[in-house]
Amino acid sequence: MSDSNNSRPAISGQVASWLGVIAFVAVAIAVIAYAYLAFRSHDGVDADRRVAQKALRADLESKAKGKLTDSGRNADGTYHIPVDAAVALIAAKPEILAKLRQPSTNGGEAPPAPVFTNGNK
Amino acid sequence: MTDPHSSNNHSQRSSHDGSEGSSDSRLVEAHSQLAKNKEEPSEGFSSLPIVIVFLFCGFGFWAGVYLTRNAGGFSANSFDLDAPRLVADSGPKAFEPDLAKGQALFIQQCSACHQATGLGVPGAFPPLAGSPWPLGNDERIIKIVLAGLAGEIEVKGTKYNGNMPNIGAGLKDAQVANIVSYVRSAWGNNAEAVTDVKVAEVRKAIGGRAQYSPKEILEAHPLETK
Amino acid sequence: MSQEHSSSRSSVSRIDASVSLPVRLFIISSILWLLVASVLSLIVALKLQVPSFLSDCAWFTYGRLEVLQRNAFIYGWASNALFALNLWIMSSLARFELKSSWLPVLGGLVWNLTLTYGLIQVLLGQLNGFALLEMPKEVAPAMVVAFLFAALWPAVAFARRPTGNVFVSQWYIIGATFVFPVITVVAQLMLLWCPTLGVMQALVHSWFYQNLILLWLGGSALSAIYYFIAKESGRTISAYYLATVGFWTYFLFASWTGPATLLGAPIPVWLQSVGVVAALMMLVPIVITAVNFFGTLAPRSGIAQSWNNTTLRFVLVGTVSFIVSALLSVVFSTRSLNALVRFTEFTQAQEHLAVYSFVSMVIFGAAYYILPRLTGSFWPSAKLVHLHFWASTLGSLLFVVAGLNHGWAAHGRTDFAVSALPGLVAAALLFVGHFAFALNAFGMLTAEEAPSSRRSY
Repeated sequence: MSDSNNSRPAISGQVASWLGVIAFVAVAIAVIAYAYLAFRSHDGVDADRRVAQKALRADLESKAKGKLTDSGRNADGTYHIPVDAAVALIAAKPEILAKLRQPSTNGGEAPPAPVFTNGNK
Repeated sequence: MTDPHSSNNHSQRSSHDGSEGSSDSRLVEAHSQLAKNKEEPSEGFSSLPIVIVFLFCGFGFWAGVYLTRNAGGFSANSFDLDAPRLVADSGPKAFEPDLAKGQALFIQQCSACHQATGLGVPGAFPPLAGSPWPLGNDERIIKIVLAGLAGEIEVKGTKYNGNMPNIGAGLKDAQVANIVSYVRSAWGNNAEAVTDVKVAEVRKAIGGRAQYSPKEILEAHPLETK
Repeated sequence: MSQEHSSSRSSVSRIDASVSLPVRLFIISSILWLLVASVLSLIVALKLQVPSFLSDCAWFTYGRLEVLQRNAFIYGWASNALFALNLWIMSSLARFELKSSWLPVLGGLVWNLTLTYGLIQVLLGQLNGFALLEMPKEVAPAMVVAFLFAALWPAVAFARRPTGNVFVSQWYIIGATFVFPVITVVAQLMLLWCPTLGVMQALVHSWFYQNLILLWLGGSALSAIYYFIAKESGRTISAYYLATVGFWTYFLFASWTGPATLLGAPIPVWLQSVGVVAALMMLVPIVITAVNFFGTLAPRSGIAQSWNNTTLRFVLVGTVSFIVSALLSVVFSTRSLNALVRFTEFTQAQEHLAVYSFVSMVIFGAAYYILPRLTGSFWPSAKLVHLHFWASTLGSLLFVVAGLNHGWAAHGRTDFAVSALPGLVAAALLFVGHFAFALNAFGMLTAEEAPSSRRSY
């Protein structure tokens, strides 16, 4: 308990020790962080490559999408789409279903154009 | 069941008789003494250190052996322990000619002249189907594929004066072996397959030479059949 | 001085009084987080059994709640409690009277507020993909700063110790205290702020994770085991001269065991092998700590005596769990066995064994020792202590055994039907135990607020 007697100036002393410990930790972290960042700085090439790959992927994707719409178009101007997409479409807009049925009820001069067909007709 | 709570109360009281700090400093003191004097004759653990030393030496030895055996040569590119073994296994294994690849390569590289049917174009490009040239001794055809052939030859009674380039020079040993094996087994041809090792040997033997003349190649490897 | 108070309450020593405020803050917040984590783990276990439970709202989906539970447990409960333990044990051993307790209190407040913010973000769906680094990246710097304020005081106490003598607990506390900020900053830097490429991320993460569990949580808990075994049994640690070797080998090898959790991953094979070697070399500190702990307690029916002591009973369960969990991770770091249990519940059970049965049980034991000395009063109910002990022990035992069994049975099968019932029962048991603990602790803390003897010095 004798330690506590000369503890008047120790208030700042404790905080000073604490700051010292923080400085120690900070130096340790700074050394590791610097080593890492310095080692890492020259692989900016990889970042460039990432950007390039991203652009390439976006390009391919948009091209693929363009292809999809072309091949999805029937000769008569209607589109065929996957069944689950059609179901989702109908679920979102039930009036499509009504439109689908309409041509079949309005007389028999022409067979109704199929709106949704199988891919292989 | 015993009641830990009551005994805990007891210990609480007893340890609070003295000041907390002093009992802790006694604890630190006692253990510092222990750390300095390694011998503890009263505890009867005298055989412990030697056993532990041997045990830890054993661990260390095992660790060294394990690391030398399983570290993949400390290479940054070795990702799988089994990978080097697989490569080692595949070394002495015999080359299996892949006729499908051979056919694909033949269509790419050869069919423009010799045709996919192997019949060639009469008067312009000699046939391979039923021809004695690709059959028999495999060195003849390998040499022709690697270095080419220029000059007048006669195949199945028809004369050809062609100029075959060194197609095989740009292909790998295995690719040449596949093509040659395909040619030697397709369209009713019936000759042994060719290995990439053989192709490599021939390639090394002939070096980067110019096209063969028919005379030269027939002197080295005369046709077995007419 | 103690006679004046001994009639109704024991006295509170000067040292304890000086750290009382921050330790109280840490313990109270840790218990609150423990309750949060227990409720969450109950919900998570229920969702495994009844997948549709609470699944309509994105906030309460399994992915978020599981993350929430894990982070609340590690950063809220275990870390807060270890701040308290490390500070208390270190200041006792180093005879340290904390003068400016507002600094650690400030740190504790920032730590808990930041954690709350981070967990709310997780609940809102802002997650990173790294276990125990899921909280948004802006949380990390704040938590590190909070740590520097809250948890560096043991190091200060150590630096200002009156004599040169050092007890093994102090090494472990110092090691753990320095490990946490370094691994957190480096891992955050290399994973979230300036991410490394590809598989390096997995490697860095495994390093961070193993260090966090084994060195920060495990190292702090080991210090408490050494302290309470020596203190409560009144004996000196047997084969104490080995403890130095144990300490250094523990810190050396544990920090290298990361790659052993990535066996078969596309990282260079030498790193995996070094991880395996480090995991197996963990046998050295395990043997040493086992000799230290059981060599101290085993003679003269010490085990039976410690079974009758609340603190030592918890610490004993924690010690056994430490050794079992360390041995399990040694055995299942070998390539052939690891291939069997990888990606199964087995790893979950192993982690639970380390984080709960080992670390948390030691914390409970320490809390049963520290809180009476801090408040100067007794635990209100012995029955609740019993309930807590048995619920926690059986609950974690059930969880671990069920997980190990499930992982072992599931290996190599895709059609394995998951029974989440044991996990649910275990979570319920743990919840009961934690509730009993919290009831007891808060009963004690509030009773002590009563007018009589609040001011001790």
